[in-house]
Amino acid sequence: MTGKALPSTDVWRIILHGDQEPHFNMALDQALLDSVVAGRAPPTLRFYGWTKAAITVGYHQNPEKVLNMEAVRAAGIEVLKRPTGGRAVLHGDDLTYSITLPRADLLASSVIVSYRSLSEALAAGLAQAGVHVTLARGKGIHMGPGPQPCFTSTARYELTSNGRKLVGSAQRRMRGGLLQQGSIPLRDGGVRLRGLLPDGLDLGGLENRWTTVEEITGRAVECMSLASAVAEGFCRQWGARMVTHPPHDDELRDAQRIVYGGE
Amino acid sequence: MDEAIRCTSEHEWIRVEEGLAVVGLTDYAQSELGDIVYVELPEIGARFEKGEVFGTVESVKSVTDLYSPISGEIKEVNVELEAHPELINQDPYHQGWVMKLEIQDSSEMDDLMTDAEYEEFISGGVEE
Repeated sequence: MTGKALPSTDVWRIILHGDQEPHFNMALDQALLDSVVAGRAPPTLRFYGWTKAAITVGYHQNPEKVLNMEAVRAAGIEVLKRPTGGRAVLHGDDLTYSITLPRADLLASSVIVSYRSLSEALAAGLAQAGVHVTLARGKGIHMGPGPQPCFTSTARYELTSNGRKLVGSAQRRMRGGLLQQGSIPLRDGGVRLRGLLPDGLDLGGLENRWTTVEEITGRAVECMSLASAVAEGFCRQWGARMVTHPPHDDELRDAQRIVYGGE
Repeated sequence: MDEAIRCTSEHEWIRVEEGLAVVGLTDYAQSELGDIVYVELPEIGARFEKGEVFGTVESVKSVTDLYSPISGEIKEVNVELEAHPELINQDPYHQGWVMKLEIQDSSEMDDLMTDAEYEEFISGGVEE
């Protein structure tokens, strides 16, 4: 059975959000999904950074099992659970994105087909910024919520350069909406992450499995300049108009309520 | 085609066995989700309303919500899925069942699609 394509859209809202507090970042992605599902906002591509280093773990991961929490606490790093799947990601030296799309049907496109559509648009966006990547081929690998961090393995249609992973992405699918979150490392945080993983975890050459934007381009990259270029190429690939607009007040209020209301 | 099965527009199936409603994911759902690597099961004794989220599955780093086809109390869950989530892919209508519910209001079943109607629905022929 072949999967259906994602719904087309004439317009994408782009949010270039700069550095934000870790908990607020996750809450706002949830608020944006709610807003898009409710029909209050068009499909949205949000780029953001982090005011401090944080680790996000997949929805089904237990931080106590996949991280050395003693080392994480000693380093003063916050740990957050993502609404999306996948594995642990260290944020701080990356450009993070979220994509929120309405979905008329829970399975309006298969998981793998939707990854492909969104990866092709992101690859076009990165090319616009001078970062040339390819979609990983081959069979989708078995990516359970195990202890190895996100960037140590590459799933089908993830974005790679010279066989090394650049962009790690994961999804949440709920009634009426799809959220995809992803991380684009700007510079190497791999050495730091290794010290925050459980003792004895075999990573088998972690540093050789992923790459960074600065490694590919050979120059220093400013987070939101990169985001702006990626957004432009993403919308062109999609054939959609790009409207740059910050989050609405009700979306910001919803995010604050999620952070402080204990949701 | 299974005459005893009813399906939802969110791709769960339901079948009454020995007075309980057995619930799982349809073959179409498992094929669209891809290899299922984790299943978050509900707790026995928990109550869900029709259409309420009762659990999640993870496949290819995608977490998908599962919706209860009818209202009722959970009487049994398929603990085999904790170690072998791939059973949903391999045998979605039998070994891959997810939970068993005590039926609260059997008329809620009337709103659900027959297997034949569901086949039409997934091929795009029927708007529920």
